[in-house]
Amino acid sequence: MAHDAADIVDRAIDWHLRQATMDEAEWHTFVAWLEADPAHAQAFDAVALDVSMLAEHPELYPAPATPVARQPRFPQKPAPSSRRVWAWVGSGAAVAAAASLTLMLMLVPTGLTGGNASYAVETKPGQRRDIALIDGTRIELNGATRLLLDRSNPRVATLESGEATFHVRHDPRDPFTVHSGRLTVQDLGTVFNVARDGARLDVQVAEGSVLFQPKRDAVTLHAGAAITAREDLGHIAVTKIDVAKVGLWRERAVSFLGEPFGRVSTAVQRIDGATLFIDPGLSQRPFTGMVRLSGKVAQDVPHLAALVGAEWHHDGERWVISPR
Amino acid sequence: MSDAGLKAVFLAEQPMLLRLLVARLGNRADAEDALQDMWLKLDQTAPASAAQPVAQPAAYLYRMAANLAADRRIAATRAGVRDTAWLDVQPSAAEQPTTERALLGRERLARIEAALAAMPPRMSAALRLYRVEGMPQKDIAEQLGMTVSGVEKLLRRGAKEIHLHKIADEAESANQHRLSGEGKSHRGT
Repeated sequence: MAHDAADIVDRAIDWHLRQATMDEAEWHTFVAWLEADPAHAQAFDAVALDVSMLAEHPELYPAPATPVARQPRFPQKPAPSSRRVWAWVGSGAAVAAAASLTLMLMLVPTGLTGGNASYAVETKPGQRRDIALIDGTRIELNGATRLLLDRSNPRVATLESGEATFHVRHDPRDPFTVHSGRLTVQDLGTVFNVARDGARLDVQVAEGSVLFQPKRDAVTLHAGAAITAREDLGHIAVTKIDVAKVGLWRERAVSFLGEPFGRVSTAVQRIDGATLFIDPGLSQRPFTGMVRLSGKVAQDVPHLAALVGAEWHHDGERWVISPR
Repeated sequence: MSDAGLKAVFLAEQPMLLRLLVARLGNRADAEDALQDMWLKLDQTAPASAAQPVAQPAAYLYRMAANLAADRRIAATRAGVRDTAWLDVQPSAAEQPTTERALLGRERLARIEAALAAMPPRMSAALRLYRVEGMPQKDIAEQLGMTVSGVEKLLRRGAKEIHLHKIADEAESANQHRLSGEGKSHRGT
């Protein structure tokens, strides 16, 4: 029995290693093997999960005592590894990394001049952008977003509108600060998401912590905390959030926790780049759950309407969801 | 292979692709959803695939399906959510299961870290070069001064050690897991 299990694991590892080079017939055999026994599928799943973790968590590896990676004898090719070629198929991480690299090259040369060097980075509705600052901070911009940066001070950003996820390179002597309206967020070693929606500002922390309103309330928000501030009402609420749901827009998803359904139209604008009008009768209805957008409004609006049992139509520029 | 050709191959292989996804995801609804995602991706990346002709379209599509399935499995273990349009329609009090699953993810990471620390440095180095750097096995062989088949053996044994490490750790809680159907229950009922 134990012997069988070990054999199955060997087979699973074997199949997994060979995936990069398998031809059509081998894939068919693989599917048949997976289907043959739930234990096969389970072993393969465990192996695949392990391997994904191995790929995604470089910090798990022990630091080599002696440098293992000797200088190669030949000048290194800019090897387009098989993993990278296929990256678009899977998570957007590799693609995002590539995008940030390109942008860094664009930003750095012009960033060294100093002076009054404020500049705006903008995305159109439905567009996404990934920027890397010289200090190592990475910012992912959702659609319909405008962010002001400063060439002479890479440690400050102003979110004028829209939404962004910040991956801050922490420096205790020089904290990274995000302004938005009259509100300020300061990093304490962090990945966090900031979203502006009119007078409403949402800050959600995925890793580390941030200081909200450092010069006034100085509320420390740790990973898993979310704050909603209403500048018009002077109201601030701190709630909890699943860290996996911070910056969910990057997966084209929106999460609701008893919030008005109408907020989905902001997501549709940012992600699909389309104007969605939600009938007032529906827009205030509280919703809990998560909705995933496809990036294509013609697909998402009917889907959203169906979820709330409503009707939809499209007139010219505008998409409308209204009660049935 | 033109884009239209790739789509034609997709349509021809669709039943088998679906079987692969069902086997990997454990249920038909998620599998169909993933298949739909694939179709959309083929649609969106049409210009790219036209620029980079695909030599073995069927194998390419299977690999794409396998990667999509892997991503969904990771997302499911990470967030404890099902990858469907409306996920947990639940009161906020039900945060517990999510936290538990996040813990399971963390346990997995801890086990992998322990296994990596315990294995010979050469083995973890090979795994790192292959999985993190995405270096071809041929180049790893070059760097580590060994044969390609030696590298492959190393990668295979590395994966197995990680798997065994996990099993050793899980041994005492295995029965509980089986009873509660937690953790590995994605195969559905």
